[in-house]
Amino acid sequence: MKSSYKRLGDFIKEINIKNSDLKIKNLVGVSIEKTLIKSVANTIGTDMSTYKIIKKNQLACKLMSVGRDEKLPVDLYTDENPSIISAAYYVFEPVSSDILLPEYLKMWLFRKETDRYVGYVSGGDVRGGISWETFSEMPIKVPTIEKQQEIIKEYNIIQNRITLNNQLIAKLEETAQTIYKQWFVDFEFPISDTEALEVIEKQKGYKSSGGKMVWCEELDKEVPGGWNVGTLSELSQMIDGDRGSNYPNSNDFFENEYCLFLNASNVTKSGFNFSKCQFINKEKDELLRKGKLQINDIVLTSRGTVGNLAFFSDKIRYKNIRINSGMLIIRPKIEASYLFSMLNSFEFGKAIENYISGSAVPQLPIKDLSVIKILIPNKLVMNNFSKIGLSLFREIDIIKNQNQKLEELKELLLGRMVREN
Amino acid sequence: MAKQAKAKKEKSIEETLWDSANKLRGTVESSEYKHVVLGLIFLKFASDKFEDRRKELIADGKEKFLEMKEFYNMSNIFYLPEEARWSFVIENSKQADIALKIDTALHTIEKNNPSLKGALPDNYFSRLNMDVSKLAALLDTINNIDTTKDKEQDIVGRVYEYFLSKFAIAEGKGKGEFYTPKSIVNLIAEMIEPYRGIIYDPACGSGGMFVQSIKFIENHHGNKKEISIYGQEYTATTYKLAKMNLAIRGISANLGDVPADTFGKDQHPDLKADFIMANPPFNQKDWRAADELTDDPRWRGYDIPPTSNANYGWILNMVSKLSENGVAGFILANGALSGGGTEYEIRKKLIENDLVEAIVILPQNMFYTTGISVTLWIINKNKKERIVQLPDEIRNYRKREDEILFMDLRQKGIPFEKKYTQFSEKEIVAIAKNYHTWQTDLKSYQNIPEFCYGATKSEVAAKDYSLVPSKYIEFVNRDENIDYEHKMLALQKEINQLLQEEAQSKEDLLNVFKELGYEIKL
Repeated sequence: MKSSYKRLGDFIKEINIKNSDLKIKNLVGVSIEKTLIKSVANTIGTDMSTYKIIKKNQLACKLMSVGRDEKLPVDLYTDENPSIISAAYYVFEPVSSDILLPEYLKMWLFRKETDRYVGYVSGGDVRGGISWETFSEMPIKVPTIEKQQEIIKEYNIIQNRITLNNQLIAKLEETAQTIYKQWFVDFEFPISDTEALEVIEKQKGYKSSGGKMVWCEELDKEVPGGWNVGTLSELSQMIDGDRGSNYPNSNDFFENEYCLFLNASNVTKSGFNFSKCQFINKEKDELLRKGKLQINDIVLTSRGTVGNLAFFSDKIRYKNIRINSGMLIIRPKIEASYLFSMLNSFEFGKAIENYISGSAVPQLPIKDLSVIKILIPNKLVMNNFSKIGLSLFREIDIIKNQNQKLEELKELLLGRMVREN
Repeated sequence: MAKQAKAKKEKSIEETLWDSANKLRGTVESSEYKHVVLGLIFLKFASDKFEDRRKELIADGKEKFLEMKEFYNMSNIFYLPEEARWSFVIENSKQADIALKIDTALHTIEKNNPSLKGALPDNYFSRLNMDVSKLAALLDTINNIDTTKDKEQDIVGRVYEYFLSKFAIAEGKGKGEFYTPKSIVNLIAEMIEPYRGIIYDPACGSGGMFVQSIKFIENHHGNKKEISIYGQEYTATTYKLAKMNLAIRGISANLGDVPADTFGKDQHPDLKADFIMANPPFNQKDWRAADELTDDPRWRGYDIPPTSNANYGWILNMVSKLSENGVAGFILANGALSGGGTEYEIRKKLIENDLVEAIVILPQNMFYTTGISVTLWIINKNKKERIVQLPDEIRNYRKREDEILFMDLRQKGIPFEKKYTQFSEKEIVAIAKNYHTWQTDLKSYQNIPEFCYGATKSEVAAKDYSLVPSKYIEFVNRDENIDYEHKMLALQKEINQLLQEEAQSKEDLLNVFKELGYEIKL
């Protein structure tokens, strides 16, 4: 490596203050995703006086298994109140924050290349760990304090935007669910002009305004007059993936190719997540039969982690997507955003809990799902909801796309640190 | 029955056999049952070869020699008296005393064939007290293997190898030490090229290193007769496995008179081997008592290896047994590359004596017994310029005194059996070629970052005799090579488009809220 690098060890010092008086109770640890988290380790019967104290502007890292994981668990502690951390961690800080800012140090250690570097130098150890001495040998570039501040500022602007976007996504999802509940659980949907003639007060929702309710045998509750009920198999086509002999094995996957092949981590509690993707090529895609997504399809995880849902809107940036063997495609025959919100609702979540089978691995069989009964609103209400739902879901997807790009930008910014002098 | 027949079509004979062998589980201790299965397979194969030879003799009109051992032994085939033949065992397979009959058969084979002395299970089957019907079912399955169908394919060896590896995987952590994964053995053979002379393995397990050496010679058109094999194994049952494994392939070997500890009871004290291939146990503790083996000739000229770890004991055992031009390739845990104390002193001396030729670090998860990454060491007694005629190639070794090649293979390998990694054949060829190029032609050889580096002794001395490859092979910080400008322009375009889309979608969203009667004012 080029000579303008300096030795990390010359800029940091290890801090080793034990919690001897047991004064500090809050226990933290660092995840493999480089985030300080409250520890969930079982500490019953553990001697907490051997734990180390970590204070604001200090960093903690664990060097034990960097070879095996090719990741350095490290983060900067920013809380005003100190915490304790297991002795398996090294706690350290810059020798002088006039020369190296703790935040800048954190950013240096957050680089992907740092992960690769610690993995690379771990070869001499049986368990793939590295020593503090080896860690101290890591090369680092330390520009002027002004330059450091500038880089930190850019980084934080991007990071803050990502955080803001994530909050926005959560709020938009909440909005969709709130409206769904108001309209289709409490039946307080806005009344159309024609119906308004029959009710007294248009300002309130349907039910409160005295809208007509009828008893529904199938659902065992009152529903608005003129609405229907259908089973999930009547209101959608339920599609299993192709699990035949062409199902891809580990040799068929690529980092970037023609068709995204979903895995469990891509379908989360809050919809699609594309931070780690695997792809198959066009040839393989063409060999596989059913299991490919169309716009407005809903993906439901049906094996292992059961009940996670994702909606394939036209704003998703991958156009070719296939499900794996632990998922189902639900292809709506009614308004997709209504069906998706319905499946995403608390009530439906409770309903499928009853159907989960499989002794070791929880499973949702199609035959159980297909008989689930669903309320079908009249066309007007459903269309009105669809307009709102789609616009919320598309906004969410756009923001998710934006976050992905911002993550890339962040990576690039971290990578650019090697150019400073 | 119909179902079974269908399944057979899809499975290879190895798999079918494995499945039916698995039925024995539960009735027999799992570590024992490999001896049951492999013992029977041995009997079947030996018998098939015998019958073949018998037919041959009849065809040649030599009926009167049918019962003469010599006429079998001369073609490397075991002579089997009536009661030792597979046909006899099968005829009696439903009898209550079948276990006894198998034991008698094995005993008779051993008695009649001196080269099998100590190789076969001894009164094993009657002692196990197996369920007769399960044993009969296993015999039936083994009976279905047609070992003579395809001579080119070495079915015998394939089934044996498949079973050894399957048993190693099944026994997993802490056990399965009798087996070294095939692709590692292949790599060692392709690198050190054991084509002629004496081959030795001081911890030979089930004999996989030898089998691979023979395959290497066959693949490269050499003559099997030009090598002789010496080994040693401590565990008695594994020692038998090795003897059967070699006998079944017609490889003759000297594994010592008895199974014994290589350190405490060296079976080949005066041996000088031309090639050593070994995978001794990793980081063996308490391999000798503090007052034991303190004056062993194998340590002469070096410090006595520490009692806490046998790694350097193995190294010195091998070094002491190398001939003038001898080469050793062996696997050790990574800790040996940089161990301190006595290990440091021994390593320093080995380097000063110019014995270390190459250090190759292997990927994680190659072994069934442990997930750790390990190192292949290559020790070469003669790093001077010399010409060696291989069966189908000539190697013009250059003078490489005071030089060591470091290689890092941690990013190589392909997935195998889900949890494990192995080298592909292509990779093995490429890795071996890189090593041979460095040995022969420095002009064509290149140091490649994160893969290989040819170091000098003084460089190694400057790193205080550490042999950790990453201290020498260059690490490339990929961030330095990012096309920043290019990526930035792409991101500029993409984010621009996203923000525009978002503006439109934001407008829609505001409309929705407005229509719902909850207007948002920004």
